Amino acid sequence: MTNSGFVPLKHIIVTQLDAGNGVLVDLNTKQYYQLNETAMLIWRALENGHAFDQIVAELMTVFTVDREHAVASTERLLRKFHERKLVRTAE
Amino acid sequence: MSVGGSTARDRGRGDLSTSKLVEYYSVADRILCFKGVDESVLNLARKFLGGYYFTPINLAEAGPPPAHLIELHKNTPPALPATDSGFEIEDGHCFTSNDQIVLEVSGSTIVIGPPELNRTDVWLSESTPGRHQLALNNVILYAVQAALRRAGLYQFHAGCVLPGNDSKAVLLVGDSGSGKSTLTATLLLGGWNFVTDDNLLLADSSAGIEAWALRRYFTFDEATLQNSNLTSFKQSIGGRVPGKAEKFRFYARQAFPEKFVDTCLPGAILFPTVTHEPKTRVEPLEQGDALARLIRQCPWATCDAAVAPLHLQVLSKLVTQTRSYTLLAGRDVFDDPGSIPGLIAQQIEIP
Repeated sequence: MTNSGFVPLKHIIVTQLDAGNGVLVDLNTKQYYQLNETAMLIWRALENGHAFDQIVAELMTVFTVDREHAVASTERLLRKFHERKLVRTAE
Repeated sequence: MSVGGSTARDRGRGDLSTSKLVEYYSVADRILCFKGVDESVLNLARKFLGGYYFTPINLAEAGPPPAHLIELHKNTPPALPATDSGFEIEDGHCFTSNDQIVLEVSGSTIVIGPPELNRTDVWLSESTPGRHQLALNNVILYAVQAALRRAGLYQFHAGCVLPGNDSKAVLLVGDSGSGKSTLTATLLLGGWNFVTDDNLLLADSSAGIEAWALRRYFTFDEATLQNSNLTSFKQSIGGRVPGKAEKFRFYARQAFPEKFVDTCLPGAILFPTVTHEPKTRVEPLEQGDALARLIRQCPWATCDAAVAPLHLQVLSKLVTQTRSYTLLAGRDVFDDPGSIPGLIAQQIEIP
């Protein structure tokens, strides 16, 4: 099993709310990002070093969606995290 | 650049205790220590702190050692970091490095040491504009705010009022012009208890996030004083606020002594905005939106890296222990202010 290919950067702080959503704060740029429950689940999975397939499985279980939908969501959010320089590629 | 030396805890019980140029103040259950190179600089601090709920204490009465030391210097400040890192702040620049922050404010230099030292050093400007009272106050404010953050106390601009003696508080959060002051005045006259109109400290405790009174006076513009009939409390209206000539000091604790509360647990947050609708109404706000708004109100929550995680955690806990609402203030705030306290109490839930 390979990992997701991405690791959260150290200067990114996350804070989670009751509903499972939350906020990411980039201490370098002072930008913050609101995350919905799906994005937060994926961020937590990245923190825990989960593999891509594992993240997809978690999404399918938690949100009762099919694999195609979960794969698309995971790919899209990983791409956004990377574009916004919130994660680095794993070595 | 780094500032060496002992920590606040080392010095709180050591050589500082016998010096006449050291003073201790209690604020929100913490102790801050101020050391001045001479009487004149300590006087600056005293004058500034007199406007806030900082209580001078004798060292003998102080149980725990001070949480933070602020030392005021007059000699040549250390060189500013030769780096482009950092960002602009009001009246100056903030230089950041791995373990400390250096602020250049109106010609004065503030070095906020690494978290484990719990000390902040201030070199006061010798220039004429830098020695202006407003500039010096601003410098001390930056230093005190940084010290408070390292003591687990986060300054927050919000009104804080309570509908009843045993109730949790309602925070009114918004920029200048959002109607915060007018609403605070309206609720005060409607019989609500109060902590502050605009300046408090947030602290994490076993009971939850607490709000503590910080500034001793309210600030209202003339229109708010007149529209709210607060002009009848002539003895409680002070002079104009330096640097904000349109604002007057209002000593609410003098006018309503039985209504003052020094600390409380917030149960609701209102984000007011002025509308031209006839009636005031409230709309629930999602926790994520509320947290984003709080972060916008607290720039140091994302700028002071050493304490940012704890600061953000406090804001996050505040959002989860409260219900948040947008308050759309209508014309009735001016036309029928007596109806507003009841209307708000009816429309919001305070857990």
